[in-house]
Amino acid sequence: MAVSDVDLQVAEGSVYGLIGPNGAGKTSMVDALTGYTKPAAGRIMFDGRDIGRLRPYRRARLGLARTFQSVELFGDLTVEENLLVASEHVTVASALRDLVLPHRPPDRVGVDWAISVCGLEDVVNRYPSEISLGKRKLVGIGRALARQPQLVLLDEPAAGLDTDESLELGGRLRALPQEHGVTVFLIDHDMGLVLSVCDQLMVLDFGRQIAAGTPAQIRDDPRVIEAYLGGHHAGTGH
Amino acid sequence: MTAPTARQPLLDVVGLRVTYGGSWPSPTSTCRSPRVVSMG
Repeated sequence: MAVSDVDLQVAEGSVYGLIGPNGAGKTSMVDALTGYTKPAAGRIMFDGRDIGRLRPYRRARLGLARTFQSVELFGDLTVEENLLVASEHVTVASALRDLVLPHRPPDRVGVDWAISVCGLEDVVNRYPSEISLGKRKLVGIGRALARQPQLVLLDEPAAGLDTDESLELGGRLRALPQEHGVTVFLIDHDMGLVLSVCDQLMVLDFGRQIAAGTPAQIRDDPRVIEAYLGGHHAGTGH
Repeated sequence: MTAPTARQPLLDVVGLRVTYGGSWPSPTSTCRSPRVVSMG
């Protein structure tokens, strides 16, 4: 069982964190929430609507965006073009319109907003290979934000970042709900980042929820300490 | 000071269970591989 009988509530305007050792079921849960995996059981309500049977693109259109662990950007498109591609709302009608008006200007509102929120102004015309990993991670987040979602799920955005990049990312994540109205669901191994930016946290281990609460409550929870440092996980490095 | 109004959570998950290999069928899972045709 990848995830077993998990309950959680994410308040609008908050940063909710999900942590756990490798193989705890974190990505499986995000896959289920965003429609990439079919759950075996349970109910998923988003903004008052049951989305459990909707495909990923339908959930995205309702305002549920996500990033992936590996930032797969289009290498032959600039940063700005990567975001423009993500902001396109492709329908049959828009495809037909493109046939008639092939040079229709793209809707830039979400893209310009995402560039500003992620601080990408200085790299918009650069290619992914020309920017740092930290910036590429921010482009991945910007791509998820380009459709102006209500909730964004970030799958290990700090993986591979150095301390300065992680600090910058933390500031931007904290600002998402506070200044831009986007609720954040954050998965990461960087405990410093998670404990500093999240309002509420849940800890998974072997697919089960072993603790939930505020960062202060999680920090001292003996079950969490056991999961991260106990015998059955010794050597995982997390 | 008034008590804050209880708001409905944006995301509300109850009893979620995910098994390994529970992915949706791939959109391309029923597509055939392209045939390689010898050009002589």
